[in-house]
Amino acid sequence: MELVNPERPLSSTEKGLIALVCLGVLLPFLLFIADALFLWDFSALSLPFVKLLSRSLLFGMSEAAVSAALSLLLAATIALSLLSCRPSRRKIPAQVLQNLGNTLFILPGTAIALLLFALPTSLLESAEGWLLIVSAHVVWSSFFVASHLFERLSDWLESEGADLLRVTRSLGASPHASLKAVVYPLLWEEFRSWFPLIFLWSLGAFSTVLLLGSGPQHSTPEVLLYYTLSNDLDSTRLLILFAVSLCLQLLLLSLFTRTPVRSAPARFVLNSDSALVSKRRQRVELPSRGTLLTISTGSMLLVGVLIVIQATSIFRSGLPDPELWSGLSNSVSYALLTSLFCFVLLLALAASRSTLRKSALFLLALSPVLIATSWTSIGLGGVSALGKLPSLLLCALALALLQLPFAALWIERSLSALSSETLLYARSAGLSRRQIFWKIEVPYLRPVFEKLLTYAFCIALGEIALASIWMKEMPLLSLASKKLAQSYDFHSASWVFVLTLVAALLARSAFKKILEKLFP
Amino acid sequence: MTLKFTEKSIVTLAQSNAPLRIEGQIQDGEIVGLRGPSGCGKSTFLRHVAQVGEGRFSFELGGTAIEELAPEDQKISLVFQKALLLPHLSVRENLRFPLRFQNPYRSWSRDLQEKRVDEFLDKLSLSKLADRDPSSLSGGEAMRIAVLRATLSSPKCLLLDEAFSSLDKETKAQVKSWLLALIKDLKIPTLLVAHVPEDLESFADRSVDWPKDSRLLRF
Repeated sequence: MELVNPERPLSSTEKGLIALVCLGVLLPFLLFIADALFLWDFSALSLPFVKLLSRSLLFGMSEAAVSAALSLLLAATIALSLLSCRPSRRKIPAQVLQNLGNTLFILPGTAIALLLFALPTSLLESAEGWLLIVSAHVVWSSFFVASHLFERLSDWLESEGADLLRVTRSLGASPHASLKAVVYPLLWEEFRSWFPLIFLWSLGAFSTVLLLGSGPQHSTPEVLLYYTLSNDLDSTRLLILFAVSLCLQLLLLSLFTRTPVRSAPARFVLNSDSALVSKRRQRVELPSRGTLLTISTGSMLLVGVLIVIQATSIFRSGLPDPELWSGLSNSVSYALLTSLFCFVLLLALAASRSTLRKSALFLLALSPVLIATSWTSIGLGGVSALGKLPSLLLCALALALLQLPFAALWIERSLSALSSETLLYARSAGLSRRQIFWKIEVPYLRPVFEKLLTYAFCIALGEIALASIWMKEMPLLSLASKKLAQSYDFHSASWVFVLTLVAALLARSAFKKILEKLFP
Repeated sequence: MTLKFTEKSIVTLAQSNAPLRIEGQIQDGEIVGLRGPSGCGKSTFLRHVAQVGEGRFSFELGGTAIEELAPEDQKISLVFQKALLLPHLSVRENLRFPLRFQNPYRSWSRDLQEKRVDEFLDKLSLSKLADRDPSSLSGGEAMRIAVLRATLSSPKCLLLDEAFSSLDKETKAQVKSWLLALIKDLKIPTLLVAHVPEDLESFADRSVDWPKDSRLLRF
């Protein structure tokens, strides 16, 4: 059997299968486009609509760019701070920072939005809508990326990174110059691949913009699509918005896929002497560690204070409304279903990474994201009408599909860190291709799966757009939080925040245990 | 420039968890080999000499205590088993790297630094590699560049940590003879660590065994 070769040409069967998957995902939209072109109406393109569209484009782009840039800077600072602490004798700051970072990473979007509502009302009223939106996006995505960056840098330091730093130090470079020469290029590479994805995520994010935005001047094309879909359902306007949205997504995705990804350092070292060294975690000598620590601790403390404010409000308000409990159980079911679909898709993605070319993997993974969140609604409408399938099932599947680009990036990075020598060794030890996949690659990907499943769970907990269009009758926590935030019911909102956070924390620990049992 | 271990030259290695005292000296242009089994602490010791280990390690370099020398004047070059070239820099830029930080070259203009790099490359018939990306080099070529990078700033001491172990027999012989001439020419005291005796043959002037009790290492 052929050994893994990610660059081998695709066979015609594989090409056909990929085309079929892409077509299957895009079919409802192609049907919609045909329908909208048939019913084209020039009068729908009025001046107020064009103004609204250009304003939403401008706001969406600038908000997404600022969010992505700030997120990455904060993420890098936190990751470097964690590295500089570890394995310092003063272990407490490193552990506290890491645990805080990990906890914040799993905060669902709605919880973040509500967290910002914990700010004093006067501050909230004086703050611009865009500031709150950017803050929410920065907090969420920075901790998500920080966690990834930290692990990547740690892995790299366990292999050749520490020696590279030693070499540069022995060549006379100061700690800062050494860091600049060795770590910054690696970080820059990560930035180049993460920036378009975070930009894409911020541009397509619904819940935060809907919860925290203040009117049409602080709206994004996605929210405009949502309003058009839920209010007038004008097919010409929808088609224009779809075209704009698709062009943006394609542009960003081409940037993302064109970013060269240098293969990550080998994690499993077969040489026994080097393996002994690599097992010992290395400490990085960083310049002005105090500054890095202050920035990252400060940013996390700010969120910590907001959590305390929320928690004290709980004590004053007593037990939550019984409606919230049913909302919680529905939301958890929705999130669990999404995680289940996500798990199946992750396995499929990992399997296709093992057998297909890297570019084919990304093509497969990125095809669903070409359709923005609100457009998934149109697709769902078509599928639902045809098959009369339960909307909960379809929404969960759509959300799981939307996680694929992030998942593809993580899986690609992680599997490329598995050295080819390890796979050759496994082959020589008599393992079949299938055994290599289930016994080596999947267990190796376990931490990635754990994070991505938690991420999918949190996305579903905080998701508003699909839920408000297709599951109006079903009480969900995210929908309740939207109403509560709009009515400034702070006490109930605090309960929603705590419930979503506890559910996310429990889910993470459950996923960890299940994956450990499934793939020891 | 002689490398001399003094009564202060004591290091505690994680491998033995007991203090190891080092005595003796390495003369100008002398190559001393250090033999020992894998995992005994040879590489950790070498990192302490290079001042990149955890904690301080004291010795004299040219009659001056190492702690009295500024980092840009210490000039102790370390070469690992892997070439460890900076992947985002070209070969020329990798070679220029130490000149940016070490005296007297750090005060030179970029042009002058590049001229020195090109002269060395030319002298060793490696000019064709100057603009190449490190990832495009063969193992032997990368190792040559790594050694050249370590010697380009006229180091006061050269430390080789299993530097030949990843090379094949033919390349190893080539790199060894080329490096030997360079060390003798520049009169650099050199310490080579190896766990394979063949790596020391026809290269080291004398060899020392790692002490079995890890208490006293005498050069």
